[in-house]
Amino acid sequence: MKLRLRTRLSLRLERRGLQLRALAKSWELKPVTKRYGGLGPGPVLFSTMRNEAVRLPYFLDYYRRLGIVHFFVVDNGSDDGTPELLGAASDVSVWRTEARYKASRFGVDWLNRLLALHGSGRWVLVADPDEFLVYPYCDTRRLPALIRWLESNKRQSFGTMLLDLYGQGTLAETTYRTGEDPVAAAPWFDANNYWVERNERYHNLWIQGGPRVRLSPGEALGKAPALNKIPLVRWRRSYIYRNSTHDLLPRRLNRVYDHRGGARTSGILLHTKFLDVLTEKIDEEVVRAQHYAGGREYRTLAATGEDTRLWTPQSTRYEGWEQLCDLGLMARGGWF
Amino acid sequence: MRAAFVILAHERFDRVGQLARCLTGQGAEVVVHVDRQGGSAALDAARREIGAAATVISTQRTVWGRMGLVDATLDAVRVLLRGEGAFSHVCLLSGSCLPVRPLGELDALLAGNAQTDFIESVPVATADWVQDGLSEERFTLWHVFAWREQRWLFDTNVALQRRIGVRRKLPGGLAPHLGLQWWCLSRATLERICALPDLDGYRRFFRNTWIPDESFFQSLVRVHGAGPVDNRSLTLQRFDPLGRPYVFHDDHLDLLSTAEDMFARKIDPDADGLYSRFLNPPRAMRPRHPVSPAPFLAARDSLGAEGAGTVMPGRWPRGSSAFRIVTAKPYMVLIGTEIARLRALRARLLDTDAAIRFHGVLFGDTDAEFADDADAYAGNISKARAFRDHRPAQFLRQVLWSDRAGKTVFLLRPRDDHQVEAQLCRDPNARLVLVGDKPAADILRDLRRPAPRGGRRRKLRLRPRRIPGPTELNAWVRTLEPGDDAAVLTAARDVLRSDWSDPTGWSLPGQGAMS
Repeated sequence: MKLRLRTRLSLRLERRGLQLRALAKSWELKPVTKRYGGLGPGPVLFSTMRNEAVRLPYFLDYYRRLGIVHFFVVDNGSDDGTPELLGAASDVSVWRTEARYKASRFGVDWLNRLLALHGSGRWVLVADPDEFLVYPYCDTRRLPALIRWLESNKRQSFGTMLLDLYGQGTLAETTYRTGEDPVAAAPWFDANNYWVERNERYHNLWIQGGPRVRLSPGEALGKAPALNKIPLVRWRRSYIYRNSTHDLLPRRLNRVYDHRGGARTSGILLHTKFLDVLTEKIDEEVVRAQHYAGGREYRTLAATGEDTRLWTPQSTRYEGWEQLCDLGLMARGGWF
Repeated sequence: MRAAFVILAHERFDRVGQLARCLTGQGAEVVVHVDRQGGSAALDAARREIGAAATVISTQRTVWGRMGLVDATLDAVRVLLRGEGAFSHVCLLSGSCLPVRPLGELDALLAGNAQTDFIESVPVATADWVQDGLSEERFTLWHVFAWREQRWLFDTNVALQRRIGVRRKLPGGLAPHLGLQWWCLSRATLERICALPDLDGYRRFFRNTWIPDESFFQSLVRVHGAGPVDNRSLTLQRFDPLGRPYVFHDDHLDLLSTAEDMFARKIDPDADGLYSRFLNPPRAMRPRHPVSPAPFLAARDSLGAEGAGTVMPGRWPRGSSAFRIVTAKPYMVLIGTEIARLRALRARLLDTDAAIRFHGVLFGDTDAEFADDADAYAGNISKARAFRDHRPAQFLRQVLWSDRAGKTVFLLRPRDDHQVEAQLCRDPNARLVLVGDKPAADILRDLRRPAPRGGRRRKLRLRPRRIPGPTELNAWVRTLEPGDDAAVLTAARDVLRSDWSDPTGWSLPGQGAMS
């Protein structure tokens, strides 16, 4: 009991600390366009981005179709036309910062602040411009239907896994042009080489593996990027994203899984990072060193560059949400 | 139009308005009751959305499972009866219902059964109608708390009355009946019920029962009904194991458009496809038949069975850990101390059964040897030892999950790090075949030897270190007695061909001679 109390106190201190941190970082954000006045009900999306002009149009369209009513975007010093695209959209509010991505813990501090200000009382989705949420029945049911189902089960968060997609050829051959569906350009994924653990302090599942790990087998596997994500949450002011969207505090939000032998409804974030547009970013990002683990992944990519090939004969081609359920990567969880 | 309609609504008045207009557009009279909890704002919104299409009243707080739902229904029925409509029946709908057959079919049905009451009404004593929760005690106990909002009080109240032995009696010779809330009663029956001199007495009794909307009319119609009772609801509504109605979405269009029921509930308010289809029914209807229970059962089963044998963001069976994993199905391990002998045996057994995925040594000192000798196995499982040895038990889970459609066999020589060995001993899905060149008991003891402790150790040790015992043994074990090669081969072939999912005939050592 004593120990539990200590754990609880330390978790609470950590949460308060992160809230203060987000507050302290809020001065870095300069509002550019505020269009959230008079916003109706419905889920909203929060995102941090840098130079995503190529991906942005499809990204916005995809989530509008799913039922997102407003986008809250932190623009981290883009200079490729992203600000103009964001400014032209009537359902996007933009904050701009030139501050360092890494120092804000990869944008989490910025988003935490915006979430506290504008997300409270709503279902919020946090996704990068290369992440596309799929869930059971997502071809016929939009996010509000999923949210009603989650609410009828008294859930406040929705668990997913990041699924890295790649093309059949090299990175340079995986061509993508603006407005296209990036999943069509890079439809392949690894079906079954993930390992899962549960974090005993934060109670989140910790999933690693996939093609990025195959890419750099020499590296310490324990430090491979985490693939567990909790991107959809019924937000409250007291909540905080701790480590990207991998886990939250309070930790009950991280228990998105069934532990009695069943499965809860869960989803997949299709990660369409490995397109030819990435090659232009690699050099820049290696110099900036603003990404996870000192941009190690970008350094690995730089070594093979545009000749990087993730595809193997054992790769699986993405066909739709039903396939992901059959492969055991996500679950209907009783949803009819 | 022979039917008039009562609609109970509390939200999404845009959809309620569409439903009301659809019904009135075909000549039916409609009264909408709006939950009084929403206050005047909700009533105004409802009036605005519904317009002149229907009469809108708001007299009762309609809390789930409470008497307000029955009273609201009675109030709305009285409005209809006072009016001048020439209807023969009243259908009770909710704001999330849709007519899934043309109203003409309902008209024809009612024309042929002018006196009939269409209401599901099952005697509580014989009913296995209740999905979840109380059955007869809905009536025999006093229920004064709301189950959803005051769960603790509700449960305590029930437990207390059970202990005391409370047993309420039903008034006026009523026998308790249960059934779906949505019915279609004849005008004569409703007139008789509304004119009952003891209606207030019934209402007082049912006020303190649980979920009276599923029992009030269902019980009364058996005593006070004017005509015969057709024991079915005209509304298609199915419940999940927790007693919540299944919600229909656009992907259920096929199911609904071939259903024989007149109405369906609940329709998701965002199901634009269903609304546009059923609010404007085309002339040619598809042939109809009773709704198959299969899709509902599949949804129920997906709660538990989906992805059994793997872990995923929504599934983490209690007790799992990086070293203690779930396995998809029974699998067989040929265990021996001489690896060359095991390989020779495998080479001669390969042709035994095409359904068997016969791997080589998965957990050896070199890379994993997959059945097809590939660098990466189905699902892109790498054979590199770095990956395998990072989390050996999870590597095993991955291989078994990839093989889940077939049978898996692999070879094993007990290793020093012992992580997989412990997992194999604990797993009831494991079928361990000891290929004897050492006595089986020795191999088994070696397998169950606790793994060497790794990691940081505390320097200060106050208590003496507990010496760990052998790993618990839940796996099923068989031995191939040493003998000439031909005999061993035959025995191995028999084991491979047998049905391993049923472990009878496999001794479970740990008890008996083996240990």
